[in-house]
Amino acid sequence: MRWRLTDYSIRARLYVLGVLAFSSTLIVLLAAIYLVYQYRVEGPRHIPIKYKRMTRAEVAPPSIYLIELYLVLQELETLTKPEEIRERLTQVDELAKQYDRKYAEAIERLTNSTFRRRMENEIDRTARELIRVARTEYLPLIGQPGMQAKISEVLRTRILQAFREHRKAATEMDQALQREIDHLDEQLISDARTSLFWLAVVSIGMLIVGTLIAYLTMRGIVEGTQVLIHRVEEMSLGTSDLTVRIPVETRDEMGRLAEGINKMIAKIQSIVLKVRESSIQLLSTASEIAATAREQEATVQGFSSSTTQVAAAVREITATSKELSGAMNEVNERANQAAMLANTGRSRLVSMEATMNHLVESTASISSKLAMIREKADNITMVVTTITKVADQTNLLSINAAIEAEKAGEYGRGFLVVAREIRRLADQTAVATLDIENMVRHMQEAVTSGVMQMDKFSEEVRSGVGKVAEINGQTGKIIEEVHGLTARYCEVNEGMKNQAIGAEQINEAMASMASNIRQTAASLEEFKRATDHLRSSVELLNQEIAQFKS
Amino acid sequence: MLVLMFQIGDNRLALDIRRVREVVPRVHLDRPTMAPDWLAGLFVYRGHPVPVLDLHHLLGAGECPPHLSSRIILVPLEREGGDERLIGLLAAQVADIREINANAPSMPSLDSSSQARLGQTLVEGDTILHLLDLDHLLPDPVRKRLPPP
Amino acid sequence: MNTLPVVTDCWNQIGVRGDHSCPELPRVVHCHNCSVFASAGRRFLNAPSPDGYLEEWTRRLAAPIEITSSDLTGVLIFRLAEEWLALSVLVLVEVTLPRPIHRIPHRGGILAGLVNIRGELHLCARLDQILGVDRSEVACSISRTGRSLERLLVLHREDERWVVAVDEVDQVYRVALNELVEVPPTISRALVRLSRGVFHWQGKSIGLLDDERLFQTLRGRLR
Repeated sequence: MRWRLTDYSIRARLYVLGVLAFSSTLIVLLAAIYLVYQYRVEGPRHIPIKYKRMTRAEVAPPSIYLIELYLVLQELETLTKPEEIRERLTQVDELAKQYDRKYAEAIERLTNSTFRRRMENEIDRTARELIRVARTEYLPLIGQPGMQAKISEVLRTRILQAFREHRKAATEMDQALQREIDHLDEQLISDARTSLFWLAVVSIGMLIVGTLIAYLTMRGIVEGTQVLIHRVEEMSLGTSDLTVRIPVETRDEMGRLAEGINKMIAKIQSIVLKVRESSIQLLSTASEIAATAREQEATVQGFSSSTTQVAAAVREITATSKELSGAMNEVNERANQAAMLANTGRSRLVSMEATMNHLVESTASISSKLAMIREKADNITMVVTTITKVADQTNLLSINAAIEAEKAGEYGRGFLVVAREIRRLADQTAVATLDIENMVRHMQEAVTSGVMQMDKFSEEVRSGVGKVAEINGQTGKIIEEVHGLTARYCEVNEGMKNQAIGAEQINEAMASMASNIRQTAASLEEFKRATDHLRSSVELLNQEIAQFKS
Repeated sequence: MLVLMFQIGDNRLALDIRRVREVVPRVHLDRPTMAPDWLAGLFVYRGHPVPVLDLHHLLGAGECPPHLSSRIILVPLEREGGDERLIGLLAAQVADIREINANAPSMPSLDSSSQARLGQTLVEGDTILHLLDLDHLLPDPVRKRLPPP
Repeated sequence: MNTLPVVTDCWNQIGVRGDHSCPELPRVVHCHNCSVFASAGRRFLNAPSPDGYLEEWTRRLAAPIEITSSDLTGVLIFRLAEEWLALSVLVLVEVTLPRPIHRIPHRGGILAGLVNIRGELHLCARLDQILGVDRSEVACSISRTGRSLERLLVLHREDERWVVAVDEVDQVYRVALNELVEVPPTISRALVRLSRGVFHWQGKSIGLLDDERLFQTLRGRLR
């Protein structure tokens, strides 16, 4: 089969492109970085040069001290003052020490063995030679009078020679170092150039390749999209044939997109069909709704009249409940009055009860007193018995006295009188006892009747008390009932109020309902209008859809 | 003369008080067995037993009522041999002593046995009295039947 | 008790205790004297005997009478002021309730006056004066029932009758004359003179008066 770029997905192609671009850029970048890194100042290529330069710098200072030493030695030639000489001698020592120190440092820093050896052998040797010569041959002469010519000689010959040897060694080393450095420099530059050259080559190459791939990919995409755009634009104009499909020629994203669009068109097609169906249904529904709306209108009318009736009824209810409330108020007042009266009556009853209880007590006490009287009567009866005996015996005595008196004859005459007196006494006693007996009997009869009456009275009082208690209880019940009534009245009143409130609420509800009805009527109107709109909209829709061939 | 008044049944009787020893109250009487009706019983009077005759039975007037005024009239009776013995006569309403005229008009005694026993009938004021004749009241047969003293 | 119905109690209705309208009242003066009253009294006794009465009397009558010694003299014991005195019953006729003593004008002394007893006038003497007993400070003798205990003694010896007032009369007591002791000299001279002696009775010293001397004194004072 033919290998075509378009067989591969745009995505893949783009990925490759991207990767390529990325990787090439990356490579170039990395290379550049590497080069920069390498050839940077203080970089790996530069460091040795730097070190070499440093070495060269390191080498210099010790010599400089020796130069200074030499200068001081020269000064010493012409000095005569001891203090100046001493000062200069001190300086010479100092400089010697410093050279030692600097030399030590330089030696330490020198890593290259060649140069190290050279330093040691050449520079140091000559340096020490100079110092030695100075110390041994020159300095002792200083300050010595008359040695001026010797001093100048030594200076000019020995010191200068040593110095020149040293200087030579130093210069040679320095030059050697310089040559090294230069060599390194050149190398560096040429290497850098080479690298840059290859970098440029690679970059350009990558660039070309990438451009190529990008161009090819773009072309594929553009071509594909052109077709789709065309189709879609067609669709958007609204005059396209929903049955036509985009040919799918490629297997990449464009192809899939084309397929998708095809499917979408198919969907739209089906939707359009459905819409058609629905619009038909909608139309019928709209008609139905309109019919219903008309019915509702009629209902609303009826409703309105009903609410009016209800409102009238509610007004009646309110009026009735007001009347009832008034009547209840009256009833309540009456009930309260009745309760008050009952209370008064009750308190009277209580006092009556108390009085009756007193009566009962009194009758009880009276009964007991009567019983006491009866007892006393019985006691009297006992006494009466005794008196009767006395009367009897007195009578007897009188008889016997008379008998004795008669027997005594003449002498008994006086005694007869006595006897008669005694008899009369007996009679009086007897009559008195009779009277007492009568009195006692009367008393007993009176007591008995009194007791009977007391009992009757007591019974009546008790029954009266019972009745009073009954009445009391009943009155109490009445009061309770009245209180209950009052409570009920409050309930009823509450109920009435609630009813009135309810009626009011109903009224308000009726009013609001009436307004609602009006609103409903209005909204029904709107509804009808909406239905009409709907219908017209559906028709419009139909018209729109009709454009599509499906 | 002074008489002691008493009542037997419906008859008012009188007895000369000179014939009376003493009047004592009614007491418990001990009735011996097989005693005749008219013997009410025996009682002890000052240490001696005294037989008591119920005048009611003797004169056929029922029983002596058990009143306070029913008393025993103690009369001494002359016995054969001269000594007297005391007997008691149980009578009712023994409560009065009156002075009566011995020569008061009297009714002739009738020929009935009871009348003979009762004795002379007198009129005193507005009441009819029977003057008791002890000797006639207690004929010998009765006296004989009295318990021995 | 009395089972017979009360026939009448005219003494309470028309008699002295009633309205005094009884026709008999002018004749009898007081109901007590009326025969209706008396028969009512008698009839009262026509009632059954009380319980135990028979037993009591049976016992009493059975007991033999105590033979009294003949050398006992009956004396009436009475009180005059603080003094308890006695007088032989032989000179006593009667003891009666106090009656009004009508003073005899221009005659005083021991003579208290005249007093009417049973329709007869008697001379009343002041025994307290005769005996020298002070009666003035003694409180009124009142019995438990509120009645006065004062009594009048009617004395008589041969033909003389005297009435004296005493403060209290007790009873007739049989005293043996050999019981009498001498009168203590603490009492008045008159009393000493007129007393036969003193005997003891119920814890009291009773002065037995000499009736003969008493009558002598009375007679003497009268003149």
